[in-house]
Amino acid sequence: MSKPLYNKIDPSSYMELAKQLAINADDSSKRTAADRAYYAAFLTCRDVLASKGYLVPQYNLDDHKSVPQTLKSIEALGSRGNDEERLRSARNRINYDTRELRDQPQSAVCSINWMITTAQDIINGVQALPKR
Amino acid sequence: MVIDSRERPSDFHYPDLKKGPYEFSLLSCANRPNSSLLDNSGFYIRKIAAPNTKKYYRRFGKLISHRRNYLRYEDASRLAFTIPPESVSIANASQFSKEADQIQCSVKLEDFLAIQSVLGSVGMKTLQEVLDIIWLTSKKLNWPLEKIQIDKVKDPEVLDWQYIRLLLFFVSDFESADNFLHKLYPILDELSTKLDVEQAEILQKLIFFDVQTTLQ
Repeated sequence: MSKPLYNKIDPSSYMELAKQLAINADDSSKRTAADRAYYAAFLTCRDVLASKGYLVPQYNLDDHKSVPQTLKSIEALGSRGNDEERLRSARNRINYDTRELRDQPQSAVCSINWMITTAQDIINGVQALPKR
Repeated sequence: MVIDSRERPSDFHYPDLKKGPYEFSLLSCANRPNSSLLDNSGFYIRKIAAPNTKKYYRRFGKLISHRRNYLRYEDASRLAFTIPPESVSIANASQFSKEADQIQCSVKLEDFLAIQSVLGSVGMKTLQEVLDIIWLTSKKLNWPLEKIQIDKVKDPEVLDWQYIRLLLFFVSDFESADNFLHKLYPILDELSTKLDVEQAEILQKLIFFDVQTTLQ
């Protein structure tokens, strides 16, 4: 049996990486931190919701649909689950738009602090859910 | 679906618009510059008719009479979603979008059709109930909610996923706007328990929320 190229990972560990990167002053680190914060939340939600019987993961792009929809169910986080989709929108903007992004009216740019805090809140909420 | 009067025949009909929440039909539109069909702001004027004319006049009488039954594109869109809700009396319909304590919530006609295509008739009723609860909460808690933008979002990654996003514009900083939205979440959850199963599922799976700020 060959040695795995990538070991199994707990996606919530991306949060620590995001926090470490966010401290750095360079923009590459900040934008990567935003990306990791989103994926920490998304992947942790998917895996925890699956392990607790809330959804069946596809392990592909389709999970971007099933995770926010499942999170918003009353049995899961309810409307609070909406924040996962907000995180995704924010992450898309920060990752794909390489121009200067400012915190200004109607800019739809979220700070790295908001990304990390929101991601952590979602992770905490999902981890506290009972098994179904 | 995009409706552009410059590319449409003059007698173009949209009978399926009757399925909308306030039931109106776009009977015709102009396809060439004509002073009688072009208003001051340069918009082509469409002839709008409502199946229930009496109800329409009772509610929007002044608005309609001002324009002799010809509503501008935006006016027709504005009729699609109303804030405040029907339970709140509108003293003067002609000032519908001007009163300071009301929230602007207009949707272009093509966007209205796009939203309708995602939500269906049941979903449109759900959306109106969501807009009502947002308005009532905003008034009750004195939020600086300026306007609500309703967008159809085609997901960039999941091919078959389309949903509706309500973008709430607050005259505040981002942190405050974020807090307002978080206070709205339990209210939406309460609304969800009062909806029937189909409507609750639409609210859960097809309607999402985000905030924008307009404070300089």
